[in-house]
Amino acid sequence: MLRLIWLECFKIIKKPRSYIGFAAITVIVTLIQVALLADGDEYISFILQSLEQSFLVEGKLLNGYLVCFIILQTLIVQMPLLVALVTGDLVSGEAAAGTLRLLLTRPFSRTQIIIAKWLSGAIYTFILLCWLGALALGVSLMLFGEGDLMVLKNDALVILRSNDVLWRYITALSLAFLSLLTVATFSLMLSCLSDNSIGPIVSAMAVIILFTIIGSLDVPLFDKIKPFLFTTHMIIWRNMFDSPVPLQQIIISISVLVVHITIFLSFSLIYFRTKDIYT
Amino acid sequence: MNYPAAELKNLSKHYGKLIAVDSINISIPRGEIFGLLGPNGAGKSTTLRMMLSLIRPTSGEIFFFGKSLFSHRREVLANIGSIIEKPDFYLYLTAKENLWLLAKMNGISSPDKKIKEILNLVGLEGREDDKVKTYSHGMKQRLGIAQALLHDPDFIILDEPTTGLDPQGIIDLRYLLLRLKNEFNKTIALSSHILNEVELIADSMAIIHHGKAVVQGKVTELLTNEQLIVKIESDYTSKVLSVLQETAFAKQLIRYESDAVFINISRNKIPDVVTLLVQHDVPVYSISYQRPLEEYFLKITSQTNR
Repeated sequence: MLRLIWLECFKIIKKPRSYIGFAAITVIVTLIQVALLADGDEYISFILQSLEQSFLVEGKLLNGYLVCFIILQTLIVQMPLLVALVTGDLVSGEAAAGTLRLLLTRPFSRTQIIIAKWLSGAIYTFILLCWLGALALGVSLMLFGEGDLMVLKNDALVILRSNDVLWRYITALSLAFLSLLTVATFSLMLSCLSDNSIGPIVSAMAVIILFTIIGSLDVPLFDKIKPFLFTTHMIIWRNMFDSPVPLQQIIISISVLVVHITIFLSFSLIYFRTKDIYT
Repeated sequence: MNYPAAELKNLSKHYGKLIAVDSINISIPRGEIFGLLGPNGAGKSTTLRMMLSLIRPTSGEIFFFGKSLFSHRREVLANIGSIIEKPDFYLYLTAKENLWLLAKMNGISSPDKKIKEILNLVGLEGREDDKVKTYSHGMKQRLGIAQALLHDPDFIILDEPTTGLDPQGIIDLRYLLLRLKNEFNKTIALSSHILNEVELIADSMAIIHHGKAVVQGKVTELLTNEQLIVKIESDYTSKVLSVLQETAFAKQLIRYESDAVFINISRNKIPDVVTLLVQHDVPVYSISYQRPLEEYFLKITSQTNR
């Protein structure tokens, strides 16, 4: 099984498409960092305009922690796409290329193959997120230095001391990993259903966009289903920057995401075990 | 027990009301080349895919060397090499990387030496570090054969293996398959629409039509009694005709041209004709016949169409 996981990782490493995510993250993060280096102070003043009438703001607000928060807020829309680009192709890409025949006539069970693909997708997602963390947090800290983190929420202003931030980022990135793993599992499930490469990627994004729109609309009809949509819980990482941290809410979100992952993976396994291969 | 290399027992595949494969019973002897013939849509590829567990049969059983494919899937597949439909590879990898990946999947721990040997065998040495996307169809076909042989399987399944090969490639493949059978005692099941190829190399065969195995057995036994159109090439056609007309072959005369006479006889009667012409001192350039499998195939499939 370990051999199969490694071989699936080898394929991801060798596939040019796998590097699109890394390139996109690098470009976006660099652009934001350069922009904030050039005009960051003006940007901060603009944001604080309304607050300066009620508060006296002092200290270095534009620091590495804030820049990282801005980057994560911006990239949250793109990350699922970058993950689905690879995980949505794991089975259907092989079906479209005809290599699924090669794979399925080797001495492995179909369950092992799907589990290996899922785990290699999880490893890819983890490394992509680590890359984002290294660039967004590590490079930002180098460029902008440390400082207290000011987070402006809809209904509150949260200020976190600089020595209280790093663990929150690490936990937030771990929760973001769980969210992205849900997307990866969902796109893998769609990948099992399809024999073309693009369909599952586009479908995964379409569903995420649809669920996100449902989640953002203040319509009573949708209020009942919102708690069950995985997209509602994909933003739990932000909760790590509340004070105090809403632990119960986070546990509920983790549970919902884990249930979704279990359902998506189980369906993938059941469907793929009996799928006839014609490609 | 000395089980056959492969046995298909009452194997069927239904798609709703459509019956793609209908209770096929086929036995493939060990160490033979077995040809699976049939017109397009007859059920050949579905049968081969079921033999590789790519398609789940509706009913029936498949055994390789006495072991059920369904209850010993991993063990059975480890002993089978295959090319189905067309040889597809990871185009972003080199030939060597593709073979390395597949060798590792088959549990070969240090595959480098084996990969080198196999690439030499199929004539791809020197191109192993090129990405497969730069390969021609013929080269991919050779690489397909390489991957099928890589883990040294006892049973090899080839679906239309000559597709895309140039004439030299077809000859090379024919000799390679005969060598695998004769020197390494491999069992090879192949489907092909090139009937002459099957006739040249197959020991046994089955003809599938409308999802049923309408005929199966040893190629020589099936074809021995088939009537052939034999061409006797000679500048003395009138002499050939007069000699033949004095014998029982008179009834077998079909037609004649200025330099050839055509008769309709079975293969085992050809030596009698040769002897007769030699005894009567008739100069003959050649005696040749159309490959009989083509005739036989058309006869069988047209019979079952009725």
